[in-house]
Amino acid sequence: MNDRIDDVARQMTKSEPPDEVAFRRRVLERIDSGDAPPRPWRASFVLTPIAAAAAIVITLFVARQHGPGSPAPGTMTGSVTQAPPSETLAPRASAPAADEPVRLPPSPPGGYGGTSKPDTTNAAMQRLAAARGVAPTSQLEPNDVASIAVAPLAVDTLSQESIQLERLDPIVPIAVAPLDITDTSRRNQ
Amino acid sequence: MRAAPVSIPRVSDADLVTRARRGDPAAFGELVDRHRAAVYRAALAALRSPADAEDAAQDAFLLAYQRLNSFRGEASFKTWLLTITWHQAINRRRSLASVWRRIVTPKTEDEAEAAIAGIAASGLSPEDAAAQDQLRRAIHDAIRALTPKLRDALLLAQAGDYSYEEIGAMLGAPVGTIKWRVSEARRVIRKRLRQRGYGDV
Repeated sequence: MNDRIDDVARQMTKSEPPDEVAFRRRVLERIDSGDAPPRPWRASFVLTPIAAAAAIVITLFVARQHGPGSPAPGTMTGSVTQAPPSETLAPRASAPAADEPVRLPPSPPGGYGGTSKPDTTNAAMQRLAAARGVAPTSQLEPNDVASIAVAPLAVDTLSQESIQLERLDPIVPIAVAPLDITDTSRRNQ
Repeated sequence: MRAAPVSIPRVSDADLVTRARRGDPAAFGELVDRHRAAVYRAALAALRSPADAEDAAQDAFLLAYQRLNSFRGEASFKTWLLTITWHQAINRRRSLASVWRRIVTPKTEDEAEAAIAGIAASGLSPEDAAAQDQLRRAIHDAIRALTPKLRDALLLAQAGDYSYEEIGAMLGAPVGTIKWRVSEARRVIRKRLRQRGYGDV
């Protein structure tokens, strides 16, 4: 069988080569004309970048389909104006008067222990400008947005029931009849 | 004084290369004539298309002429030329146009298949000829289905124009590896034939 395989393989390469004279003439003509062998584009060099670009386009298309309006996770909505740290953490620059109560900076919205966000209300901005002795550069206009103050929680008041214990009936003492000895001695006899 | 004509068959490839470097076009033409068939068959083994093989053979000679000064004579000129030929043929085989053509163009019976059918049909009864033809087609398909490394080694080894050293230089592998690839190609083909029902393989 190896011989048959070799025979078929031999036939696959047994093609008549091109005409000797014509071939030689073509080669020498190309040499004289300064022709250079073509540099063919390798399929992998062309198809690989195309496939990579297609994958990127498809990924972007799918990402946009999943809600272009919804914010991406990890990003913050709205703008946060950063007040200088001195306003949020340190006491006011101006020393309070002796008779005035000490005013502590407002607690952060998330309570202590969370990220300390600066108080960006208009009052805070004005206090900051007053402390610095400059006119506030930006006045926060009252916006038309409805108040975001949280409505007080409506909680039902608990009815106060009496927790006094009921007085138990006094225990009736159990009277035990005295033992009659005479009957016992008569029985033993 | 005109130089005495040199009997071409007595001039070695190395002398022709030296003359070609000095600008003698006839010397290079003689090199083309000597190695045309071997270069063409090597390209045909890689490309399996006579038209592509002829183009690749021309490109190989062109490139060899341009790089003539880099030929150091460590190997024979034929080996050096065959290495260039193989690289040109492989580049053409991997080219975008070639890949596209293989996808778009349906497979048609080529000259080799016609030759196989003709050989099988000579001097045999119709039934035997048909059976032989069928077997040869199966072998032909099995060779085509081989991986490129095994197929190239088998076809070059059976082309008859190249030694194992020359095949090793073309394919960039040691002689032992080439011999193993040829042996492995035969084994894989036998296995595939058995799977197709040619039990007495």
